[in-house]
Amino acid sequence: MLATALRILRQLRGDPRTLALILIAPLFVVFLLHEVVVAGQLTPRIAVVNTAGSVNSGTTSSGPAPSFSLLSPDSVIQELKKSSTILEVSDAASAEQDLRQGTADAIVDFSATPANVTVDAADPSTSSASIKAIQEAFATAVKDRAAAFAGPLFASASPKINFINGSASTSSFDFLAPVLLAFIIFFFTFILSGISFLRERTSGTLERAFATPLSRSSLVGGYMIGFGIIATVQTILVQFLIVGVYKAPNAAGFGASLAVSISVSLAALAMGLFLSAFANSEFQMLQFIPIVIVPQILFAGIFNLRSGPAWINALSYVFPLTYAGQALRDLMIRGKTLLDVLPNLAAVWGFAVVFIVLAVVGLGKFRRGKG
Amino acid sequence: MNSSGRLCAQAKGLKKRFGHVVALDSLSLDVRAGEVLGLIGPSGSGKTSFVKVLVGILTPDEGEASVFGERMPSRGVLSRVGYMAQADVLYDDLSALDNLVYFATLEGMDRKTSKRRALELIDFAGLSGHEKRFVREYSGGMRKRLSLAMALVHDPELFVLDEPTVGVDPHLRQRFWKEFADLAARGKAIIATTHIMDEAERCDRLALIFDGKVIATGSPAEIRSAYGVTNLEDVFLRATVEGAES
Repeated sequence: MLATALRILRQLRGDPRTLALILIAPLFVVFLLHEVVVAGQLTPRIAVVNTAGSVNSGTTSSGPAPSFSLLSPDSVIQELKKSSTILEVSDAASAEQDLRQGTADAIVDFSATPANVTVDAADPSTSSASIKAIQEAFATAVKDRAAAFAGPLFASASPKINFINGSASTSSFDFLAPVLLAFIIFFFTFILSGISFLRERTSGTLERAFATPLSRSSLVGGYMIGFGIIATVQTILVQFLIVGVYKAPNAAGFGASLAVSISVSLAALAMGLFLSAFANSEFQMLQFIPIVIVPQILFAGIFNLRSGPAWINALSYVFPLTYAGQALRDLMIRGKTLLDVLPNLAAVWGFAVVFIVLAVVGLGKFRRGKG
Repeated sequence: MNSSGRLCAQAKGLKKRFGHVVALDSLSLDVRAGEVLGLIGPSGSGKTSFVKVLVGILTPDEGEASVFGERMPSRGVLSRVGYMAQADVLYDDLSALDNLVYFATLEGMDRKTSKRRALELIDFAGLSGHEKRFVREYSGGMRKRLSLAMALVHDPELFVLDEPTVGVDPHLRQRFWKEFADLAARGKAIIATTHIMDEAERCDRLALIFDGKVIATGSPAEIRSAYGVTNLEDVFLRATVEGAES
């Protein structure tokens, strides 16, 4: 068993490109995802027109005191600047041109009462960010002015918000990080072990090794140990990047989440070994990606399925990443202990054990007889 | 020829089908210690299937093969068998030395013995000075020599060699066959498949295989006279024609 593990490590040393890919590619993927998720918190670009006049705060108001009923565009723009990029435009026509050309996401036209807002609805993420920014700016401007007249009443309109499991600065990357960690470990280990084992089969070395007294279980065991070592190094690197560099929360500590990540890699290894028996080429191995990997991206916790159909929620329980993702979120974000997440961790081990056994049984195709 | 040698491997009524293709059809054959048994026959006649049954990587549908009295497939007895597959089956991303050490370990040797034995065989195969190089950088001839060394690594008693000299230059081929004769002289049994008739001449005994059956056995001279021809090439051609007619 150890001889096979050692042989696998030597083979990887003899193929530095693959070794570099195994260790660097996951880090690169995390880097890219981090950039995308962080960049996803976009700043809307808002064109403002006719800032000279004054506007009504919202619904029609014909109150007698102009200083109370009317907002100055400046006070709204001051608020808008906190969340958005402001383009001051001289007239409505050129503002509309900006919107059509995509250099602005929304227009606030202060010439009418109430102010007219036009939004580019093509991209929901920019339109909703623009609407939110504009509504907040108006609301805050109104509240600030109103506070001068009825301070305590308007102060009570702003409830104090308290947080558990994080703070107001918890980003979507922080929440994704645990599942991302599990997913990346799973993906790279699955592909690596699957293709290595497949190559062993198609090149004939598997058959040749079975013309020696090597047993099936010690071959699979050797694979688990050899690739387990690689996966552990990979896991430590990925976790260091996510937690150490990108500062995702890790309440339970490095060791606890490492224990879960390594369990994930063992499950992925076992699944890769088992499924490679059903592929006859590297290309066919890649065909398992839509079957094994993509559903796990969709159903295993990256997206919130709480309001999804029942069958999708049921389906998520057949994937090891669901359990691993939950365990890692509980550990890293909610500060639970390994003991608390034991049921989920045990489920991941269950997957590993089942697929190890299946892989050994599947090898009966090549090695008849006992062991 | 040594018909009195100890029985090393025996096949009785082997049958194997792959879908509609009959690979082995009641094939029976045995090999004794001290002889070089040559298997000749056209491509697809079942030579490789037979050889794979002997080393336990193919299970027959019917009949049985036993090696040193153990019915195959049997894992334990494989440490007494040296196998050379038809294609050069080597780990390209390992050095020659690491390939040999790994297989020696699989055959049950401890690491120290494996290493010593691997170095001996590197020397035997004429690969000294190249033992640390990756096998992917090896020439065809070097790969063949290393494959033979791998079959020898655990000093087995029975050699099962599937086309050991394909793609080997004439000089190296001479060396290989001299080695086989030396091994037989030391009491080992050798089964080798071949397409090359002057190699067949060097065997102690030949088995002509056609359509998964043994259609004739005997020394090269016996086979020639049975077919009334002066060289084995003609036997091969005759057998192929007769087989196709029957």
